[in-house]
Amino acid sequence: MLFILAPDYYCPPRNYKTMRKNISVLALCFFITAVNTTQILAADASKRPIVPGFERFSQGKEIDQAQLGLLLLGELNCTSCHAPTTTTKGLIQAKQAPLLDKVAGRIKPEYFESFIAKTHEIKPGSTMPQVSLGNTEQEKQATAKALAHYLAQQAGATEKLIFDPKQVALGKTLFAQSGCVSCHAGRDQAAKEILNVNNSVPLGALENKYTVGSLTNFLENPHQVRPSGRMPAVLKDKKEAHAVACYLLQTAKTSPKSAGVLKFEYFEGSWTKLPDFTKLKANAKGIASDFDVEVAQKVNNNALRFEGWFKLQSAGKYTLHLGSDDGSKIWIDGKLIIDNDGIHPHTIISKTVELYKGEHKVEVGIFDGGGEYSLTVEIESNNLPRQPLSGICALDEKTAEGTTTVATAAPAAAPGQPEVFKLDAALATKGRALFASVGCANCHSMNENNKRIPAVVQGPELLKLRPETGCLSENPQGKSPDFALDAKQKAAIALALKNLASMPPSQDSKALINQTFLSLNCYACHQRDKIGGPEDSRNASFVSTQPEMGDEGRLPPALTGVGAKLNPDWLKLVLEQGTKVRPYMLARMPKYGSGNVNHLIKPLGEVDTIEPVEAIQFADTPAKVKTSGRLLVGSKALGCIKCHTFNNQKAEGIQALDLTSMPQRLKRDWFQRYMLDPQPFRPGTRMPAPWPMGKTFFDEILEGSTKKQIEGIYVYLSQGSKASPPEGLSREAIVLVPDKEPIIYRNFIEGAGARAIGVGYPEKVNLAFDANSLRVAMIWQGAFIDAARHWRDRGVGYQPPLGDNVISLPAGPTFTTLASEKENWPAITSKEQAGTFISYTTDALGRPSFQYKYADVMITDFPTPTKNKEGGFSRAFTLESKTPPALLYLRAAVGTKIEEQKEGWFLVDGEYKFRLVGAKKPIVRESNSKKEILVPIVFENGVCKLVQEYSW
Amino acid sequence: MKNTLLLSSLFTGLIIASFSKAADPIPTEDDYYKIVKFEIPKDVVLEAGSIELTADNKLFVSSRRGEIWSIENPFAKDLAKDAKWTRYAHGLHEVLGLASKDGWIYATQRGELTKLKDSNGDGKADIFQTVSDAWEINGDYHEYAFGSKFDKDGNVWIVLCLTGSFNSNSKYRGWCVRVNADGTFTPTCSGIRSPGSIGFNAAGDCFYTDNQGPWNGTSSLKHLLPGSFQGHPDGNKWFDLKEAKLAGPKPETPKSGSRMMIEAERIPQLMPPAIYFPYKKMGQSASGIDFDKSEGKFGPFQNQLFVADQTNSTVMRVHLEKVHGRYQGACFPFRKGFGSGNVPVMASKNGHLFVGGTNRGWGSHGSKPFALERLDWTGKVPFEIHEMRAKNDGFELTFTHPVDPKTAADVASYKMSTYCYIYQSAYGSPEVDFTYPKITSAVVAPDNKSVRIVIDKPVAGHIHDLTVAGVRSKDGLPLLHPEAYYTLNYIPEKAK
Repeated sequence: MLFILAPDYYCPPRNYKTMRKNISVLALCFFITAVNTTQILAADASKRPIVPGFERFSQGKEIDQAQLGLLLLGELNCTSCHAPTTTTKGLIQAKQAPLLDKVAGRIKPEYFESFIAKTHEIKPGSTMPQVSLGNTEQEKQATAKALAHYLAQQAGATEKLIFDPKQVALGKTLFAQSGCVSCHAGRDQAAKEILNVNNSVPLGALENKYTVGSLTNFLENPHQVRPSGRMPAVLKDKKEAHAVACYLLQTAKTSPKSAGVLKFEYFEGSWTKLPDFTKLKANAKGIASDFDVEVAQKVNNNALRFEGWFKLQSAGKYTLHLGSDDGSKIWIDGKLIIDNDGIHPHTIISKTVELYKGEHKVEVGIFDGGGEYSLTVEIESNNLPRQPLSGICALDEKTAEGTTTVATAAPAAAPGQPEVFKLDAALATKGRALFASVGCANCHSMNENNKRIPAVVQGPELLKLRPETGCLSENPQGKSPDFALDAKQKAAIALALKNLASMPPSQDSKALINQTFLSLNCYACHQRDKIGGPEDSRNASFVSTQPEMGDEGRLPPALTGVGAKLNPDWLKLVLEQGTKVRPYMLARMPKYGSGNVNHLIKPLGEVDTIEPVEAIQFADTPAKVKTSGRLLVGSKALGCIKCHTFNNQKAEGIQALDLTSMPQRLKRDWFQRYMLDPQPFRPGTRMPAPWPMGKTFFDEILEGSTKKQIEGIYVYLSQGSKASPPEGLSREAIVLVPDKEPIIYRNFIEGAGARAIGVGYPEKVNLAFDANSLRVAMIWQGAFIDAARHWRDRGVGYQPPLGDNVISLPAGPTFTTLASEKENWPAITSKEQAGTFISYTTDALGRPSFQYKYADVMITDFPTPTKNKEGGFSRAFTLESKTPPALLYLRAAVGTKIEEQKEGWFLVDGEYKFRLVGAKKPIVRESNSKKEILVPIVFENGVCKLVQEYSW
Repeated sequence: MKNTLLLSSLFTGLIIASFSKAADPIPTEDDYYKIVKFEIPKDVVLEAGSIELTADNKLFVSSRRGEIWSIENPFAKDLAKDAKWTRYAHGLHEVLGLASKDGWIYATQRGELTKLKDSNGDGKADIFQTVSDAWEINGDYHEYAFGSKFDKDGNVWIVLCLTGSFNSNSKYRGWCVRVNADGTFTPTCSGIRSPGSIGFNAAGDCFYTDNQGPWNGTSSLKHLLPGSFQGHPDGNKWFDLKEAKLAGPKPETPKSGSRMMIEAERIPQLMPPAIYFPYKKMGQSASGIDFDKSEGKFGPFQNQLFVADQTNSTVMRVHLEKVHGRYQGACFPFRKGFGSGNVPVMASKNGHLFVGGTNRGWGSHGSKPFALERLDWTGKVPFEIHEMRAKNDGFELTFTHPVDPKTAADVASYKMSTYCYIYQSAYGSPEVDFTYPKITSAVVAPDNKSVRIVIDKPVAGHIHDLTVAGVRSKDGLPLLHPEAYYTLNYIPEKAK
């Protein structure tokens, strides 16, 4: 388990149950792990503030150092202490520090003191400086403590979500693929931050800072506390945020509750249904931390009854998921909600109920008849990701904490662990005064009676700052905060300060755009004017659901000329809200919030220009122009729909950007120019030139004019979702119906492999032979197959049978030699192992007979439809060999249940019947916990013939 | 509404056609080579994958839907009346290669090479025998297999597209393999990406077309010299297999972002493309290959290669020569206007070029979903650059008609630029490293059939993009196609 991470501190792994009970020991191990990590971080990484734009571009020459200095002045929020003049104010895009209202609802109270006291050790790379806390160690400690208590007093509501191990995998995928690692470092197998990844905004030991609930809230809406948009909103809802929080905090001590939250009773007895507990006397009673059958004293023939309380902060619809093996029931407030009774494998039944606000009593009963034993009880609502119900349960009505609570609960202190945080009101009052006097209030907003606590610390004015003094000195002394700036950062700031005095009061559009791209780290994902774009070290984290689209399917688009490309309204939407027009691209355009990006729209439109295309006069009526546009887009002309989706309807080939979104997104002039020659606009695009060298292939459409044709398409697509679908869009079924002769269909057939040979017979029975594993893989009745998947477009994927009663015949070879009758039937691991596919020949009626070879035995396998009324097959086998092997068998059937019936028929799993004609007496055996019927093959004069008939 | 549209566009079309006829005396491609359409029987979807002409002059055409049709009288003047169609086989897996030998038809399916025979003479195959299935498929639609005709040693050459056209996730994906009629399987070259077809030149050397994508800046024609590496490294993982040793030592992995000739210098097996088809200027998806074997019955291009393009619905012409022991040469536009997206081509000894097409899944300028056409020579010789040969200091151009010596000797009649592609793992490449050589002289041969141009200066590894807009024939005609693109991988030594 997780404590393997701290090999120096041995936690005795007895068994899972003991571990659960010894959760405090476990928590101790986690704590030690965290401390170790912190130490490593402090030792290995430089402490300088990490501003990704600076880190990346201070190495090269693409962006000048003075501009990077301006970036630092903004990102380090220098102007909150050093007043800018009216002429310099507009030149710095200051980053607002996190808002601290109700901060104790978000950050663990234990975290404050250490972070304030040793900022750069606790979080190397932080842009928060080490503020001056006093002159002596003692004084410093006292100041940090008082501030911590003041912050801890700022209670706030936060969701009490608990760690759910089932969400970790999703969280990992989202973290790795949706864009988090564009700015942050990736994580190793144990989800630990990989250190020293270039230009990564460090996350530090999140588990010391956040609970699952508070991190979920932050990830869902980062702008609420960090309004400057440096951390954009990537995740689309609470469920995703919860998953990422679980992933990031999986090493944390926020594992399921250590304390008992449920009463349980244990009963012994043999049942096939849940017993009436009121009539039974419990064999044992106790307290459990979860709805978990681990508390049962044995497996088989016992039952458990759990009882507890939970509190809901709001009334509404809640879904309960009850899963068990064997039967179980759940009652809420004495009322039966889910009946999952009877003997069965783990089965989950879900039900949505209306629950009122307040306390609810929950009771769960389960019994185990034998074999596997399991129980899961989960709750879910619109606001509550699916999670174990025990997370919000308590032993009695009064202690039920509910789904929302004030975050003051701290885990019980384990021996050797620092004391649990206890709020001291007197210290907090002292801290309130310090909050302003040490300078916290300069950067952080904190409201008191709806008024922000004013800053009292004032540094020299910005333009009066001198290099190598104050914050910029070698070792900042006295009141100066210490940013741990390195020499390069200081030099850049000095250069910027020097230039500031002579700069005009507002930046030109180009510089403004560049500055914003640096501060919001747009360059991490996008290239613009040859600057930025995914770094080599992060490139591979950009992935696509359609690898065949190449880089343009996975890498965010270059933004060179984007102001000339996108309509301002669309640009605004993209920047503010994030959008998803490229469904195949897994990296997402995140939400930056209106205040942080609105100022980009106008300058982008000014800087990025394109030669306008003159207005076009059509000879045709507007309706006819649209008709021509529709014709061009369709399969009879340019066939744009072969690669682009149309109003969410799938394309034939790759699924490129939706055509109906184009005019909404794209400016007309850009569209005209791009269509003429896509490559200069998107180097390396797979978009072919529809009018190569400007020439049209369709002289008869819109007077054969390229410009008119492009305009026609634009006009047509401007109807958006109201545009009537172009020709060739819909994929109608192509049902193959055998009439006089069988139809053969070699293709990717689901259940029969990539080299399937499907055969549909006029008698309305069908089969699929797998030419790789050399077996009849499936037989079915009724309709044969729909070829549209393979015949209407590029032919992506496997097609299942179209008809009914599909019987999958056993996987593995049809014939094999066994060392003894006890030996298991082999699985086929390679094509070669199965034997050799030789051929098929068709008879006068067009029916194929398959030949394949196993060792030296040539096998002819000739299935023909039988005449019985349900439809069936008769499969005639002829085996020939000059050197017949001993102990060769046909495996006639495999099933959980095979019943012998009249006239030699066997019924397999109640699904189909078969019988053997002309065969030796079959062997019925149990193998791999299934029933098998083997037929010994005995050759006479080198030949063996037998028939297997199927009916179903 | 649709009818109205069709009528009105037809009307517009007629006006344009009649207008241009009256005003434009310059002959067009159609005056020299005519496209004759086969009338495909109603209800037959013949998305052509391959074409074979058997010894008894039956044309066999395979389809992506797995059928093989045999067509009697494929040379008939009136194809609608005289061509007789029989469905020879059905149910096969996307046949992109047809060959014939000793009464058998060999069909390259996705997963195997199969030989078919009609044993009872009813015109329909009844034996479907697997010759080799030594490569693998995994259900990815991109894993195509294109098969050639037979070489002189009785082999069918097969090029196997990569999984998803990017990776090699199934055995021998990204390889060229040979399968002998006796079933012998020989891995031959690695480095294939996404082939469009495979065929031979007059000397019997095997070539295939590969398409723009990773490690392929643009579409190209490549020589499948056994043991050579064709440029995409993902298939090289199969060198670890025992039988792959036959293809020689595993090549080093090329450096992404480099240039082809820099890497070819370093990696001895790396075979630079014999011809690059500059993207858009020539085509966008190179496909079918065959050479003119008609000894003049198809015009003046004896032994030259014809290469189709699927996106542009064209057939291009290629002249190859060997420099430094490797093929390189020039491509020229030849004929446009085919009905669908051209895939297979097949040249007959009696001077016809059969062209089949499909645009399912990949759009084409020919807007028909599928087509089968025959290109017939009208007997008139177009004024074309016949051959373009590299010289140490420039090129020698020969023409199909004597030139007007005055315009041909004028350096202003020629314009040249050169460029190459980034050889990289990313998709495609822009044209890069441009130079604009000066034409320093143009000397017309005494017979007026060739011109020697000297340039300052040729660049090895670059395409030399030449436009001969000014040269006139002795009858005053401009070139039917003034463009030529020479892939100058190697500059020949100075002639002694």
